Amino acid sequence: MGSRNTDEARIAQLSQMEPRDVVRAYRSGKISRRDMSKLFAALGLTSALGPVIGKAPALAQSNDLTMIIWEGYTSESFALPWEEANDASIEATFAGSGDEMFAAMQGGGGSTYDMVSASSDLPQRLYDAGLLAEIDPTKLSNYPDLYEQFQKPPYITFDDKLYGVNFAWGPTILLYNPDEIAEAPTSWNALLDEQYSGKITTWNYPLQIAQYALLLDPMPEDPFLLDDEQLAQVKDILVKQRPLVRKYWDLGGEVAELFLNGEVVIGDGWSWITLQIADSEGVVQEATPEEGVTGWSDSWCISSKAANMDLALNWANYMIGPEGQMGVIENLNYSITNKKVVESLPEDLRAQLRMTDVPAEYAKIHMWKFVPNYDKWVQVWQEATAS
Amino acid sequence: MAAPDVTLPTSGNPGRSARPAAALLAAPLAWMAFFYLIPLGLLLIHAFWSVDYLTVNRSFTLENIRTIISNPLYPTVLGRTLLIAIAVTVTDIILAFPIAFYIAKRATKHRELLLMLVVFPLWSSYLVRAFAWKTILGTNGILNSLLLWSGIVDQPVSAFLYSNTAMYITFSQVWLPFMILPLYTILDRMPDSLLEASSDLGSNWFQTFRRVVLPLSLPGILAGSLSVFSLTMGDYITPSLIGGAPGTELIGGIIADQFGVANNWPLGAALILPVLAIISIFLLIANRAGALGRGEPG
Repeated sequence: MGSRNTDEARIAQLSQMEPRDVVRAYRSGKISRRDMSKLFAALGLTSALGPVIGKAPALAQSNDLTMIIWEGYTSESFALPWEEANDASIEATFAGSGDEMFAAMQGGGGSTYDMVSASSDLPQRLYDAGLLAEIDPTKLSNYPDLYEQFQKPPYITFDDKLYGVNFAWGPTILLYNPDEIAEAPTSWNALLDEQYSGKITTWNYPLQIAQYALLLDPMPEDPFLLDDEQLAQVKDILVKQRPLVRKYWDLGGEVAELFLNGEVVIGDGWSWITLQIADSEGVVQEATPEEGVTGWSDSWCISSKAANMDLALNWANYMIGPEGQMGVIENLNYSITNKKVVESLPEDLRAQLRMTDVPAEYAKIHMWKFVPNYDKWVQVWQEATAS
Repeated sequence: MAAPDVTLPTSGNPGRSARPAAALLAAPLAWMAFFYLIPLGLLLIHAFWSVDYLTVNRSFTLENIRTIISNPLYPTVLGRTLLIAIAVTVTDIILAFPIAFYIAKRATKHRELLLMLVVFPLWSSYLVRAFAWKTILGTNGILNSLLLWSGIVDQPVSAFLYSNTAMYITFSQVWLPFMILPLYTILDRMPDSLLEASSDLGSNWFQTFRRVVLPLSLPGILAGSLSVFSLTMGDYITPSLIGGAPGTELIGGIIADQFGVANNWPLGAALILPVLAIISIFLLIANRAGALGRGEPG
C-alpha cells in the first residue's frame, strides 16, 4: 500500500524517536517488523539497544496517549502522520474482546488507558462503572459532518450526554477459502458443517452467542435479548460445533495466520482480516449469511482519568475527519460515519462498503449492544467451549 | 516468567548466633510480606466475595466454592491441567537426568559450553519458543513436511498443533532447563568415589544408578519437579497459542479469563484455591523427601 517514498519518510521519522519509544511502538504492533529492520539497516545497527538515536522530542512524556483497542485502529498509515503533526506518541494495546477492554479499563481504575475503542455493547458498562469522561462535541470540528444517526446514538449517550465518538462500523461475516470451498456458503450453518471438521475457526467471545442465536427457530427478534431457554438452545448448537473446531480464535491477526497456514478453511471474522490475508498473498472470500449478521459500531471513548484530555479529543476528531476515515477504509475495509467523506467516495466503493444508503444498510445489521444477562452468556460460552 | 526459588540442600550453620541472621532476613521478609503475602491474601479473600454486576459485594459467601465443585467444567479442566503437569514433569525428569549426568560426570573439556547450551534457550523470550513450536507442529509445519516427504503419512497430521499433545511437547521443552540445572548441581557435588566404590563392590551400572545415584539425587529431582510442575500448572500463555482447540483449556487460562475477560475476580480467586492446594501438597511431599533442606537444623 505505502509507496517507497512514504516508507522512507516513515523510517526517517522513526529514526528521530527515542529508542525506548520505538521499541514500545514495535511491541504494541504499531511499527511493523519490516519497518524495524529497515530502521536498523538505515542506522547501521543490529540491535535495539544503544545510545539515543537522533534527538528526542522534548515533550514526548506529556504527549503520550495510551489506548486499548481493536487490532488495526492505530495502523501506522494514519496514526503516524497524526503523531508527527501533534508531536504525540500513541501506545496501543490490542484487545481480543470488549470484555478484555472493560477488564483492562477497570483494572487500573481508568488510569492505565486514556482511550478505548469501544464497540456498541461496551460503553454502557464503562459508563456504569464511572470510567468514561463526557465529550463536548462542540470541541470536535468534524462532528457536524457525521451522519445524524452517529451524532447522538443511544449506545454512547447516557443521561443525554455524549460519551463517545462513533467512527467506524461493520458486520461480522463468514470468511472462507475459495480453493477449498467452491461455492460460497449462505448460512451460519457452514460453521457447523461436518465436511469442514477440524478446519473451522470461530471467535472465542461470549457475545458471539448472538450470532449463533440467528440459527434458532424461531429466530429471536433481538439476538441480544435471549431468555434461559433460548440460551440453552444456543448452547446445544455450540456443543455440537465443538468437536469440529480447529481453534477458537482470540485476536484478528490469529485468524489471518490460521487461513494462511492452511489450518482452517472457514471461520467468522471481519473485513480487516480479509485484507490481512490478501496482503500476505493468501486467498480468502467473504460471505454474508442469509440469516443476517451481527456487527459493531465502534466509538472512541475517553477515560475519566485521561492524562491529556485535549490530546484524546484531538485524536477522536482526527479519526472522524477525512484522513482518519479514509485510513479506516483503506487499512481495515470498514464502513465509516462521516457523511461528507462518504459522499466524496466513488459509487462502487460505497456499494462495497455498505454505504450507498448508510442508514438503511446500518439498520440491517444486528449491532452489538449491552446484554442485561451477560454473566449467563459468559457461563454458557465457557461451559460449551472450554470443558 | 519468574522461576520459583529452588533451594538446594545446604548444611546448617550451628556456630552462628541467631541475631545477625534475623537482621539479614528482615529486609527480604518485609519485601515478601508487602509485595507478595499481603497482595496474595487480599486476592484470596475475594474467593469468598461475589460480583454484583460491576462491583464486588464484600459479604461472605461460599457460592464460588460451590460453583467450582458443582459445575463439571472446573473439575474437568483442573484434572486435565494436573495430568499434563504430571506428564511434563515425568518427561523432563527422564530427559534431564542423562543430560545432567553427562555434563556433571562425563564432560570434561566442554562442560561450560554444555551448561551454556542448556541455559541458552532461557535467554530468548518464552513467547518466541512457544511460537517456534507452532511452525514446527503446524499442518504445513516442519514436522508434517518431514513426515510427508518420508512417506510415513500421506495427509498432514493436524493433531500436532492446537492440541494437548502440542502443549505437552512445548511445556516439556521450555521448562527442561529448570529440571537440568538442579539435577546438575546435585550430581556435580556427588563424589565420584561413591560411584567407584559401588563398582568396586561389584555393582553393575544399573545397580549403581538405582541404589546410589538415584537416592542421592532425589532432592535435585524434587527441586526440579517443583519448578516444572508449578510452572505448568499456572501457565496460560502456551494454551492460548498452542492449545485453543476444544478440550485443551487449562486452569490457568480459565483463571486468567475470570480476571481479564469475565471481570469476575471472586470466581477467579476461588479457582486459585485448588491450584494452591495441589502445589502445597507437592511442596509438603518434596519437603518430606528433603528437597528443601534437611528438615532439622544441623
